[in-house]
Amino acid sequence: MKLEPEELYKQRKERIEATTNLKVPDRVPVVFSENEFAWDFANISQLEFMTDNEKMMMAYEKLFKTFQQDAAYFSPSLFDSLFNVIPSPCIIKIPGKDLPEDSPFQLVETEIMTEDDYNFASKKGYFRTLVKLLPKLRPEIPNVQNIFTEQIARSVEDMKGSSSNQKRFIEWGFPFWIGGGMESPFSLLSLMRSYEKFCLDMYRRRDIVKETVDKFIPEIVRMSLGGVKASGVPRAQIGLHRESSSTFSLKIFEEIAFPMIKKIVTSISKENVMTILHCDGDWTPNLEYLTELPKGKCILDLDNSTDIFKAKEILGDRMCIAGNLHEPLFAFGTTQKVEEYCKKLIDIVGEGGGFVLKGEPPREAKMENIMAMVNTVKNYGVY
Amino acid sequence: MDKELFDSFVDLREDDVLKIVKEKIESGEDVYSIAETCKNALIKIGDLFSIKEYFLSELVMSGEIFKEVMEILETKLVGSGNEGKKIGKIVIGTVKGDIHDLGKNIMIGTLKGNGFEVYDLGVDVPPEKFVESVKEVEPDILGLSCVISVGWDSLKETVESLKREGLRDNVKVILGGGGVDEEVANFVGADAVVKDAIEGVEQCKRWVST
Repeated sequence: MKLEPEELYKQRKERIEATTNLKVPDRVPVVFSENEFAWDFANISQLEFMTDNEKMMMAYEKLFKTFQQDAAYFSPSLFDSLFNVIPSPCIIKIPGKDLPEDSPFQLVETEIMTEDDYNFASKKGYFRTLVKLLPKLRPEIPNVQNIFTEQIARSVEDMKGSSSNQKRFIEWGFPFWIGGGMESPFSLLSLMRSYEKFCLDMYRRRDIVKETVDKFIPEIVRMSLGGVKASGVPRAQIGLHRESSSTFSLKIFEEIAFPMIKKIVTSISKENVMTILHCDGDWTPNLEYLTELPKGKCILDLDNSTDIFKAKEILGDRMCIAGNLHEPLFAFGTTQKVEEYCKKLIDIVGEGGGFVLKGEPPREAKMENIMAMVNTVKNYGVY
Repeated sequence: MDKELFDSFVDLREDDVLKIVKEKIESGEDVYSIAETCKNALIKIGDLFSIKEYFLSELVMSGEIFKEVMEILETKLVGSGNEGKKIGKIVIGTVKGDIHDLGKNIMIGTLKGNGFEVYDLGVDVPPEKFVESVKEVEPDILGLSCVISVGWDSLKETVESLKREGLRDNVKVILGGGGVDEEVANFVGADAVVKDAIEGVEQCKRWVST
């Protein structure tokens, strides 16, 4: 029986909510990040996708109507290089300007924030530090601090733009995976200081790093919840790009990163919102720490670097787990390989619910491999 | 080997290391043996990394301390005939289309600490530049870094260009970076793919010792 988009929306939303709340849904939900693949799939350039709302939405419509996954990643809006500085406080290289039109935008990680800026940052917080550093971050924009402040004031209208896009996804029958979000204070600081300098800070000025991370937490929580409120989707994603064992030692994790994660999850859960811990890198050695997080209040979103089966063993009864098809599998794997890996995930990580099958197909992904992922949950992931 | 210096280095006590090194120089100790102790400490730190007692943050910090020590020792080492023998040559760069350099720079620091002569071509390096450099430098190894999928084709083109120029058999090709794995290495036709700087250096050492 073919369901109407409205019914599909309701069914998908319930499926995701049951899963994230550690209940057993009708079947395993499947979600993937679309933005790297969508534009090429729709035969438009990355630049068009980033700057033309109608073309962007046309690309999304084609993608969603083809793959029929369970949710859209988040409500899309056009790329704005100035606005993008908020989650990514780095110098940016833009397709069509600094890079070929079909390239993704790329961040250049240099020491934007100096060690002397810690005093300011630890007292004034993230946003004011960002404004202070803007002339270094966007040297190409004259009078950037004023323009930025004005733009923030207008951002309520921008959100309206995003919400009209959101309505269209809902009309097509798709709920959203992420309601709002921000990068973690630890990751933001690492980006502003540059990774190598931030490593040295851990040995040379650890106390002020801790103070600064602490100072940033309430702002980051507020920003994430702002997005949640605007979208009505009760999940806030916190980007944890630099916290794992791939980048910092367990000692640093224990002393700075984990207390931060705990505070963020606790604050967000007070608003009845679930935190998606978007975990880059290898979290396998960090997993035990996460057992201290409140039960049923977060979603552990893992990439292929972490042993997701170990995560299920350690955390499966405490939090929903999402993951973890990796980019090369979509591009170089066969449909059979994709299917085998998805089945393994469904069998082991999906046992008893609390699992979202998730992947990040790159632009080079084969369409049939994405389809194999979606079809495997539909055929094999039923509880 | 000086135990106090070695232990301070392995524990990453930067101030202690620099203080001991300066004292040793003042008391006229052989700079080469100071450098050797520090290199041995780096090797120990690499071992601790392999067993996951130390992590990348410790590798970066140890690289920084080593750089500071070498800056102090440099003027004395030059001309002493003890600059240290190089164990192999490597040309390294991030491939065309990709401008990430973090992992590459850590790899370079680790290679230098382990006695390799390193030629860094930077980021967004086109295949022809790699080829040119391989011709000129005649390295044992070519290191290609790639973090995003945009670089996959550049990796392949680089290896294909080496083949076209008849250089492929003269050089080992090693891949590193968040965007590569076994599947990518097969696609590219590389000799090895590694997941971190220590594994990378171990692989390079195996190649130059055979």
